[in-house]
Amino acid sequence: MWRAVVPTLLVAAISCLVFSGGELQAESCRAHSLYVLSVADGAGRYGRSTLSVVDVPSWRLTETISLLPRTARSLAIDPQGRPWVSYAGRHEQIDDRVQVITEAGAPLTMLRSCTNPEAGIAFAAGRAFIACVQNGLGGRLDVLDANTFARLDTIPVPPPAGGAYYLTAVAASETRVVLAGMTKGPDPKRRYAAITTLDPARLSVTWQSDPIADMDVWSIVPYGDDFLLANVASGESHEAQKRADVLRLRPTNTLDRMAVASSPLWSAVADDVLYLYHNPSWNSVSTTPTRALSAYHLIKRTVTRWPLPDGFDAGGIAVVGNKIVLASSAPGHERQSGIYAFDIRDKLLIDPIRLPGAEKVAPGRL
Amino acid sequence: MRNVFVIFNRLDTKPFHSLAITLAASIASHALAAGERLEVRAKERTSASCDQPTDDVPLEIQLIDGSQWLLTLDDNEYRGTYVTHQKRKRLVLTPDDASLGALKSAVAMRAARLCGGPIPVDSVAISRLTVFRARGGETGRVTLVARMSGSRRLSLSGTGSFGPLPGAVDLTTDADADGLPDELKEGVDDARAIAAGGDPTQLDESEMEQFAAVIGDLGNRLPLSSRTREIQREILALTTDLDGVTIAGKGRRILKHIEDDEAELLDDPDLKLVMDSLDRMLGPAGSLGETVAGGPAAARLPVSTRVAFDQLQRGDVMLLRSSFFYPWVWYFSHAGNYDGNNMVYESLGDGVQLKPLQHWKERGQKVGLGRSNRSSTAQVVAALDGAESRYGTNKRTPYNFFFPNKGSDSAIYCSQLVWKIHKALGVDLDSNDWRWFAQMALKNIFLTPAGVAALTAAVWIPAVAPDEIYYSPHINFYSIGTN
Repeated sequence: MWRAVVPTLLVAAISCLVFSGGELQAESCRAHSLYVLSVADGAGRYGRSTLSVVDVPSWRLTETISLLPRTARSLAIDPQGRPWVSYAGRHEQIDDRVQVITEAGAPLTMLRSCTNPEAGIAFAAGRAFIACVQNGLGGRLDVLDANTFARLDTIPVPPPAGGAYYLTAVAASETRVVLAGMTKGPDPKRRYAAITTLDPARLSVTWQSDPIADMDVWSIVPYGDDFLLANVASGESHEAQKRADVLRLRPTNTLDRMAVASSPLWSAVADDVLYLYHNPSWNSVSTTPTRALSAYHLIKRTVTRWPLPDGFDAGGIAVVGNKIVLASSAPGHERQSGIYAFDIRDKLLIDPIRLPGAEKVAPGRL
Repeated sequence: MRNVFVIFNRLDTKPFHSLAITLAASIASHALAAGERLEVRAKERTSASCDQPTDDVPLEIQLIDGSQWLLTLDDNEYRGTYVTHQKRKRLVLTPDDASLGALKSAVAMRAARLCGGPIPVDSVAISRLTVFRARGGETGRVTLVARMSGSRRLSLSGTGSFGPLPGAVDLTTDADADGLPDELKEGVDDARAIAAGGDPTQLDESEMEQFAAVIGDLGNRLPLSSRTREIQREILALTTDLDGVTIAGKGRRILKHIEDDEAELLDDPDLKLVMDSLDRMLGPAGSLGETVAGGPAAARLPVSTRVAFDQLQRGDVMLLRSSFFYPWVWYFSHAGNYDGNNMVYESLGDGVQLKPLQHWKERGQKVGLGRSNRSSTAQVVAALDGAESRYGTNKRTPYNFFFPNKGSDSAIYCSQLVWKIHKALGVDLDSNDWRWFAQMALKNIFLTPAGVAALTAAVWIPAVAPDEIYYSPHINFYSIGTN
């Protein structure tokens, strides 16, 4: 249910990592702030969401504001730098609210959307695309004017041949909105996903894949004219030659399979580098505690991998300067919930900013 | 019990509706401070023409149940009924006929001693007899005002702390140092002994009345705070409000209210101690990180620190303990069916649907995974397919907010869905296990034994809770752990 909705244009604008001589190096520019969504308040009481602002240069929390006393599910930053938070509650709960916060951290408006907007929110063409699970058989996409918040359309997302279609991720560019969702397939021991694309201007479904075996996508990022889909089910692939850690959705809606490292869950792109957080037990019958980070140079096709401590569960990823930032409410044995940063140069997790219930992270504007 | 099952199955929901209404009326009539004692040293005052006494007068009020009180004054007892006024903070007490005359006589004697000369009893009027609960709820004030001939007046008034009724369960004595209050353990053992007749794992019809009496008495005698009692009654009233709810939004609002109330219950350390103790005595082995030696659950259930999701097969039963609580929930609050493809077939507040396995893997949740030991996997899968065909996977079958109606096909709650899948194979997962009933009753129900019996009839046979499935001998729970 967690998904990273990474505003790629912003990430690209603030991320100053470059590959030089085969090594990742940091340049001088940095984002001024990071937004962190927590599903607990300062006292650690879950179900009371908060939004915190991290000052990146000083690496300190500068502000925490209270959101609704419900479990927030996704965080996205619009092109004006405003955080959008969607609510879907915990397992037994239902919600349809989306809250927009000013860049300064003040609640701006509360919107009603389709049911359970937990697949995330993406922005393109001046519009906000809110992806809802709806009834699970098929999803729904609410399209809003990102400036006036007026609802422009509600688009049903039909299920593929497998029947069920539980939306898990959304991303958008000026030419396409891309959705991924779980679906059913013939082998109950395998995972299946289907991809759907929509035209962001005409607001209609343009293409949908058949159910794809050994595929489960909870994070999509635009990259040029393409989209990169992190496949957390890749580690369970039954066919080695068809294994796809990342799928690259081309403008023609063909899918290129990319081998990076197995079971990537969250993703972010900066300067032609795809950063991935790996969790092979996510939404899986597997309980393996192995966690990792990786960086894949999309032009040079080189891969760098870094192991994380066992059981280090992260809910979101962002890249700022020379740091891969992870929000984690459950970072594993004897570690505290908070915002962790992996220093790419030192290859170390630096001391976290403690924050109960930290789940999602997104960079603000420069 | 089988006969009772047939009878209940023949009935429409209306009898249960009526029963629930009766129960609600019973609950609503319970006032704020039932089950408490207020002991004070009262100041006695009289008219100016009389002597003013200097000694305090010991006076005690017991609020026996939802409407009955007992006043002890000068070693004499007076009884009557009470009603609540002013946001349930003030109780207005009315003596019954016999006690009214006796109380007037007592007042006349006191006034005669202080004012000189005889006071005719028939000139005495009890103008006020009240109990006022102070802010915070733990202290109260008793006031008795009587008027007599000659404009004479006598009053008794004093403040004290509310406490449990005599005979309250002693939660402090633990002679064998096993961490369990001895008297609570004895009460549970009494209930266990009753259930041990007939089928030892479940309540037989012939055992129900006696069992309800024991549990009801134990529940009534628990030394819980007045606020806890109030919340318990509110929860039961809200639960009754769920009866007949057809608008999902309204049902969810009520459930949210119940959830908030349930969370507040744990603020009472005595109730928390009772719940933790019952968990250890009757709940899943290892639920608190330890095995209860010799307990029936411990004998049957393996305990794992991590949930063995890797053993899941399509059709397996899944139970979840989350922060959400429902009045009929003790340990497990939710149930579902593993549907393969990393999805779970389950009923939630907005209907019957498929959800990602990840929802069951969220950190901190306790999960139980089980498999039928009566049906083959192929049989269970066929029944699961049948249920998906009948009830859909797209929320087209709404959530059933009316708990004692497991026979319904038009609306279904979580454990009802699991029960129906296995019932189609001739396997009844509604265990009616005495442990579930005892735990559930002691958590939420503050009723007379008659009330417990009525509640039993409402939920015992016609409902199936996740905990009842957990206790079913037809499911082998191969893994219980914490994410």
